[in-house]
Amino acid sequence: MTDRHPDRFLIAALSAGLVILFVCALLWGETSLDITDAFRDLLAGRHSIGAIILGQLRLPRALLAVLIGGTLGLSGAVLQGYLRNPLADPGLLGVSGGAALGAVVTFYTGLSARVALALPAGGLAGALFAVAALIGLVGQGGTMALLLAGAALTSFFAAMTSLTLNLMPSPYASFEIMHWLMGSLADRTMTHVWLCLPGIVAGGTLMFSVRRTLDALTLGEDVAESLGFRSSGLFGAQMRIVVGAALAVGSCVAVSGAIGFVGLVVPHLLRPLTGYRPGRLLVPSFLGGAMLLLFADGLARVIPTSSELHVGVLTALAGAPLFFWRVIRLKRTVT
Amino acid sequence: MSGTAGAPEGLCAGRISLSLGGMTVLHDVSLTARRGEVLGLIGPNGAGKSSLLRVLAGLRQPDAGSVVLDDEPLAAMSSRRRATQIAFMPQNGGEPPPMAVHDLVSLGRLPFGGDAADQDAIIRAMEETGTIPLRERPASALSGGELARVLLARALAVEAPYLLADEPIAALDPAHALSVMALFRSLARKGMSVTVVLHDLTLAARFCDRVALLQEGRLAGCGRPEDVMTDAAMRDVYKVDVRRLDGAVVPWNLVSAVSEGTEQTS
Repeated sequence: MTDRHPDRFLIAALSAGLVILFVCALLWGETSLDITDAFRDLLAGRHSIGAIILGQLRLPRALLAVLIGGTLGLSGAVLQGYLRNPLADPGLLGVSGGAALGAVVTFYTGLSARVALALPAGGLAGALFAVAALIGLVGQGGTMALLLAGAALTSFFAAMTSLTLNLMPSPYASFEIMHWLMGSLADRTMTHVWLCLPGIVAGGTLMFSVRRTLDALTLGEDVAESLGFRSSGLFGAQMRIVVGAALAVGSCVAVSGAIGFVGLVVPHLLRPLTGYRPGRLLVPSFLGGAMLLLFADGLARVIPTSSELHVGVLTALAGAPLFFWRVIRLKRTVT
Repeated sequence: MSGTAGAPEGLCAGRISLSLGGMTVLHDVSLTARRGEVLGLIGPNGAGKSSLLRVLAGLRQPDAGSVVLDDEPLAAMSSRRRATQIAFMPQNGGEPPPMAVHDLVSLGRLPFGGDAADQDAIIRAMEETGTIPLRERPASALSGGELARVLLARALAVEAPYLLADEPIAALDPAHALSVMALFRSLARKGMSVTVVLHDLTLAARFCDRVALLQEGRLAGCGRPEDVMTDAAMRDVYKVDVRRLDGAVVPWNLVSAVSEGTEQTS
């Protein structure tokens, strides 16, 4: 028998890549600094320039890239496994739309200009509202109910966001919102990290708990249930996936804005390397998502443009050609 | 495995009734799948065979009646324990996943711990179904017959004492269908209980120790094939006249065709 755990090598390789990218993200920047001195100052609590740049700019940004990229990759893998559809994406739950609306409302009311953390807090409140609405709508319904509820919420929140933009008194605020919606990790602090961390940890834990259920679901719900894995019910896989993904993704969108394609592309790329076992895909997808966002954010920082590129724009730009390539390959296989 | 005095041993369905979408699909059905025998569930399309199998597997709660497994009500059993006692193989449907055959068969060990015993059970199941040569191939690249054998291997890998299979030979050519039915017989001789939904009356008559004949959700008969699959029962339930060739039951003509005098002679 061949080795049945090639994913251990994959996880080790992805972890090594992530560590390298993380260190690069800390070293990489406009100001060159002695990283060891900066670390020493940071740990000793000295307010040197190096410690400030490292502790207040680069470290939170790199941590957020890992947490948010990882969460998006993990959520994508879980949703694709559960729905048995390789094109499922965390955005289809409608929670990203809820977080965006919550953030836009803080712009509209002027709260974001007056209170420092009103924007992510508004995003988080919008995400939590969307989670509650999603759970209420889906109830004990199956995957079709989940997809329909997600589509309904997405279009409702998009319409409400457009309405708010339409009624916005100041064009400058509309411009700000458009920028925020593009998704970025610029100018985030450790407070943003602490703000999104509880939702990511709680949601991530729930999503990891369905690992074996996702494997069992490969052959359909009847086989999964005959193997002792329930997908319906209060503590069934569907509820844990809905609550977990919604909480984690909502927390991410609240602090970074909408970052597309990571949740779609990363599991898609890694699936063949994990033997098409959906449960085995979760850890690699977290690591791969974290790597992709760290890399994209690094590019956003160094590509010389008049204003800094938004990382959400870059991930979308990188993701679209990948699907073009997949379509071309599919057509070649078929013909 | 022994039940308390007076309690029948086996997987017992007691007075099961079930409605789906306002339609009664099972009405007051009672039967027992015993260890050491192959029980065939036969009947025309829509007779309730698959619904009964799902109720026996604990995948659907009946509206009335109960299922008891060796003296223990199925409804009170933990899902994990039930999973180790009853292996279920649904009708083959949908696109198979592209995972390797070995990985697909290993899904049958999910209710267990994941130790070396799992590997042995997987190999045994693949040997019994003749799927060892396929072990590295993606399931999505298999023929219908190969896939049916792999899905059976997945169910056998559970090594549960009760196997419930819904039309497992529907996609198989005669040679593979015969080998699967022979495998069911040999599993039953080793002490397993095999309950199988069948449309092939010839194989049902030949390989099943007992058959349960369903008609519009009711049990029209249960017992040895020769006692249940009588000419009159075949006419009444299947609306066909049968011929018997060397003991095999062969559907020959529609009853209506006979009555209209269009019987063809051979």
